[in-house]
Amino acid sequence: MLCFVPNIKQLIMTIKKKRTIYYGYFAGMTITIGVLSNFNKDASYTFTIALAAVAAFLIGFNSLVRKSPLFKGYFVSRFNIFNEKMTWEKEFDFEQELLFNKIMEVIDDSNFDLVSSDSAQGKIFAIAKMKSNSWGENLYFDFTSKDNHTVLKLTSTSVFGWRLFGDTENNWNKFMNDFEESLTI
Amino acid sequence: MSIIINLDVMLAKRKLKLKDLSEKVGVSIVNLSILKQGKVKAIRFSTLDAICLALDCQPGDILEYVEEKVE
Repeated sequence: MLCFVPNIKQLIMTIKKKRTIYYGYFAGMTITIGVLSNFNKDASYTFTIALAAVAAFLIGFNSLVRKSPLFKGYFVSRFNIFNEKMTWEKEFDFEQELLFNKIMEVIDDSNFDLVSSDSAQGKIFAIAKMKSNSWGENLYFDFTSKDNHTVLKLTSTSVFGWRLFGDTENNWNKFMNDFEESLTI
Repeated sequence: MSIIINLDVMLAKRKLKLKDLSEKVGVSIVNLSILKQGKVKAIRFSTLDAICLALDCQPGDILEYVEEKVE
């Protein structure tokens, strides 16, 4: 078998963990302290119920609007502290159009569902379904041409809450493995 | 090591388009484009066999080894 090693192995992969996760821990601690202080004071459960209502509302709202590309700004905004965001960047030795079509193929064969794509703008929007440990994810692929190379930026956002089981990293690694495997034709 | 892919040359000789070859071989146009540019990671013998059958050629007509000059 002939092996052609593209420059992918030499390409830079940057994993940037957003500050959101720290905001999440802060919010989680605040909620926990609030609930515990309520129990200690034997006060009413109004605060707890209000929190549950807010969470239920956000889960419902986010689930409803998650498939709309118009809400990309809402999901990826750093001010949205109720979900986790992660970003990866990787440079490929492919022209943008070719990489775009290749990624579309890989998405079709992956466990992600394609929601929308725009070849001209170099944008793909896909979602990962809800699992036992996740409310699901929104995945925004952005392609940028750089000489004869293309930079792929993937922003993954949870629909609600913060993932604790490395699910996002698994998705990214699996996706990249699928991509690498698809280069064997 | 430098392997040159002459798929476009063979396609031109056979007056075929990538789309035609894709349909004959059962490999997507995207993958054939990547192969044509020599950016695939590896090629299966079954794919090579199908391409040779479709283009009525030998593997050597598609793949060529060119020694790189060491300065």
